[in-house]
Amino acid sequence: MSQTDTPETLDTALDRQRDLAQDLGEYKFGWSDSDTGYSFTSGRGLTRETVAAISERKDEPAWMRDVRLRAFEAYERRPMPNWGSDLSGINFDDIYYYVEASEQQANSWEDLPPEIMETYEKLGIPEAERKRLIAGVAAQYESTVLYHKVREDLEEEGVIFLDTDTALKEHEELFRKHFATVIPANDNKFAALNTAVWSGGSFIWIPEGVKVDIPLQAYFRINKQNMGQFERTLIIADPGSYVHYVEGCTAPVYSSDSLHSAVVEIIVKEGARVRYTTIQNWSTNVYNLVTKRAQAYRNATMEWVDGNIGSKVTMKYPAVWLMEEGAKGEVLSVAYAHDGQHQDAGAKMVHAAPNTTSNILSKSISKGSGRTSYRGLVAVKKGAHHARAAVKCDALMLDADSRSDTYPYMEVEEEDATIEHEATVSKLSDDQMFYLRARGIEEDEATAMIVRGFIEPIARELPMEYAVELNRLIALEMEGAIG
Amino acid sequence: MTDSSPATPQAGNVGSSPLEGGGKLTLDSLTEDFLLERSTADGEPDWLRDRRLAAFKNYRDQRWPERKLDEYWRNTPFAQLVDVGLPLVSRGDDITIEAPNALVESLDDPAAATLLDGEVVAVNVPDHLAEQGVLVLPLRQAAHDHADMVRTHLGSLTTTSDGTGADEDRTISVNDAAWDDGVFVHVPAEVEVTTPIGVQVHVTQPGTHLPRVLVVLGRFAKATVYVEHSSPDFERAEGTRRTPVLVDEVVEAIVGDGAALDLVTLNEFGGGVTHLSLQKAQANRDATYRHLSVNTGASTLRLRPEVDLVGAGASTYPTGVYFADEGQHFDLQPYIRHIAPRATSDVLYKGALQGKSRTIFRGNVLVSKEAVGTDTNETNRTLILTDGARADSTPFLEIHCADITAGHGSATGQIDARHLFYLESRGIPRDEALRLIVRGFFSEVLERFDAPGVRDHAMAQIEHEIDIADLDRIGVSDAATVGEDPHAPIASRG
Repeated sequence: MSQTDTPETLDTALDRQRDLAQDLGEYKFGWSDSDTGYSFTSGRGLTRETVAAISERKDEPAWMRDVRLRAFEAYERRPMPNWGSDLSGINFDDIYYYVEASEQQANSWEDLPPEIMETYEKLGIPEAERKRLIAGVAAQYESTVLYHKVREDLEEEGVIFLDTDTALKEHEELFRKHFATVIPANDNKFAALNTAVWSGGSFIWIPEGVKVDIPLQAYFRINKQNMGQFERTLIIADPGSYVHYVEGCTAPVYSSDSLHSAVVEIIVKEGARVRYTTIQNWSTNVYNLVTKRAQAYRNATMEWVDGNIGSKVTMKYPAVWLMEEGAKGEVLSVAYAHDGQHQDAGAKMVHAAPNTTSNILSKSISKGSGRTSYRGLVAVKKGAHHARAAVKCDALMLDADSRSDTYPYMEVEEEDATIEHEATVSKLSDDQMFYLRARGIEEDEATAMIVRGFIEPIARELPMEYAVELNRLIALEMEGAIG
Repeated sequence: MTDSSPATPQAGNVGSSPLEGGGKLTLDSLTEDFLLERSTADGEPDWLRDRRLAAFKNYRDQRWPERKLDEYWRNTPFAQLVDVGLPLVSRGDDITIEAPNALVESLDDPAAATLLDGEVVAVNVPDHLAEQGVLVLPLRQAAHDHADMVRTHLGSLTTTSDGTGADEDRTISVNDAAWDDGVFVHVPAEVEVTTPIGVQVHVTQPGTHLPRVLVVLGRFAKATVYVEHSSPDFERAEGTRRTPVLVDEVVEAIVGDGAALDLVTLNEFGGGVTHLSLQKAQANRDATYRHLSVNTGASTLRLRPEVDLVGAGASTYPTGVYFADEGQHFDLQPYIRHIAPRATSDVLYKGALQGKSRTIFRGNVLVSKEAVGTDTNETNRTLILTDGARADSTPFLEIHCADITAGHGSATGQIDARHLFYLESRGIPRDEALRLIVRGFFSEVLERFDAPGVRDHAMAQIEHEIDIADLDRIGVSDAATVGEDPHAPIASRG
């Protein structure tokens, strides 16, 4: 597609973003591509043979096959979690664990199959690309990354931004050295499952001192009924580097439940800074069970910006392990649950070294029969003196049926540490509503304004098009809300 | 599964009455025969016998808690800390020690009862209270003499079927089945008792104790009740974290419509005691229930100070202070259930740790769908004084109703260097300054409770803890210097 557009005025750009957000809102009412054109699937259900077949299909080195098989054993051994959300609705035997849409990775937009291109049009990716608001777009269609473009100047600086399967082939040593070091295969049942059947995801390596000044971005989509998506992302930021990675998730509506279980590992070396932004808007039949963890070394900074709008059930607790002195961790989290949804999200901060600091800000909104839970851990290990941690959770409940829970865990093994936790739960303020209504603002719009104000501290941390998308999604969800 | 436990051959021994072997029975080897025979021998009313047998069925169907399976036991490893093989101590066993003076004894003619090794040994109800119908008597006797009231309320808070997330486990059903004697306190409707009523639970013998206390306040009644726990220190065997004494206790308090109960529980057993205690109240319409727990004793303490707010407009103020030193393990689990509209709760627990000790604060406030207009707050503050201690804090909120105000907060830290500097710069010696800061920390809780003698008593307990503290090891934190030199001089002086 042509890149010769004239520079847009700010107004046009904003209009486009509004349109884009509109489109993003519309797909949720349900569309999907036809089911033809998959070149390979593993079939439903999971056995040791399936795991071996996935590895063989991908032509992987033997060590990776062995890692997958060991992980599969751990997956079978580990019990389902007996806390958090109700996961009894997942039928593990009815899920496709591996689906491949086409053999080749496309190098440019025009190479994509038409129906896939259409899907991306609806998601607005080319617009985003044209506006050059984003850098490399790793577009993930089903389990295989099809479209992958990294801006040339990034390549010149030595940045590696590939889909994870290609990275395994092209940078095996670097890959092997870091893979599953932050989240071991037997960390939990779903991390084990992911390690056994992972496919796709992003692999990023930022060389020492390189600062990537525009967000790297990937869109993921589930587009086949009952297909689990098990992407695996690994980000390594060498000393003094900086990167902001943006992950967006969208999926069309299907009638039966599906599973998304990703693993994201991030290594932030001395003095480096990584920000990872997610807005997940899975359709409301998806179980979103994700393990995300970063290790931050000396004076490094790790920031998770985490938005949970969609899915039937989300269990996701982005973690930062503060490994060396001076490391910083931050989580900004916003969750929105409407009828039938349970957002069980939160954050984990493990202070394993002196003078480490962490900060968690969580905002949740529940509407209708929706349920939001903040579940978080702040642990201060022995010897992590002068650790400081602050946790703030605010919940807004819009309806009589809504539910909001707060489960903060604080474990302090060091005398010389300062840990603070605060939480509030409230309904829409009558005073605020009265103020807005008195000025002639309709009830729906007034509610939406209050909600936008409530999440503003997090929305302002997002890249602009994501902030627009978040607000648009919230506005869509708010339609018909009662004051 | 427990009837034939090979470790306890005395259980249900053939050819003799199970009662004779009763002293050798353990929590793990309880039998239906024993309960039946003891109940018959004591001439218990049928309803009480049936209730014991029903509880025994629960007990038989349950297993002991396990930290990996039972969320509420995740911080207290039951198998390692609780010895269910200790013989039950029953009435009639030799009583060799007098109970120490109870806190209420310093007051003018209080109503009081003492439960010594499971037997009610002293009961006093002053005439002016007896005339108004105030009752303080052995629970077994009350089951006969005041059957309607005891039958209605006894066990009404240990068996929940309303799905409110109660932690029903075997430690509770075993008390329901096998409690031997206890104390019953009743203040009739519209009677106000101005002098605190004392219930003393004193333990002198190794083994398993199952104390039971039932407090019932009628409509618009008003009373203050102290439940004091005391014992000598017991030697713990080498190489085990279990103790030679297990006290598995249930305290139930029913606060009638418009009534006001102040309950003070002094959880101050000696070393070598494991104290498991459910201290649960039910607040009815417009009732006020205030609770202060002072937690300084026992080697292992697992306390469940719970409140069910079942009447509209009820309010509760569950508060506690705790101070754990070398080797102590405290697991404090206040659980407030807002079941009725427009009720208020304000939880405040403050604790300090020194030496190799562990405290867990696991608060929970549940607001049910019906509880519109709830106002709730939950606060936990912990001061870690010396190296080696571990403090966990998990102030939970579970909210099913939007029309409420809820908040909670938790902070764990150490003595603020600026406070210390302020006091020292005014010529107050460091030791005295530290003492003042710790006192000030706790007084926020104690000032809420003006019951006679309680504040002085609690402060004396805290002073005692400070006395045994190694003041040179107390660390202070200067928030202003975080991020600078980690070995700032203030922290290492003294």
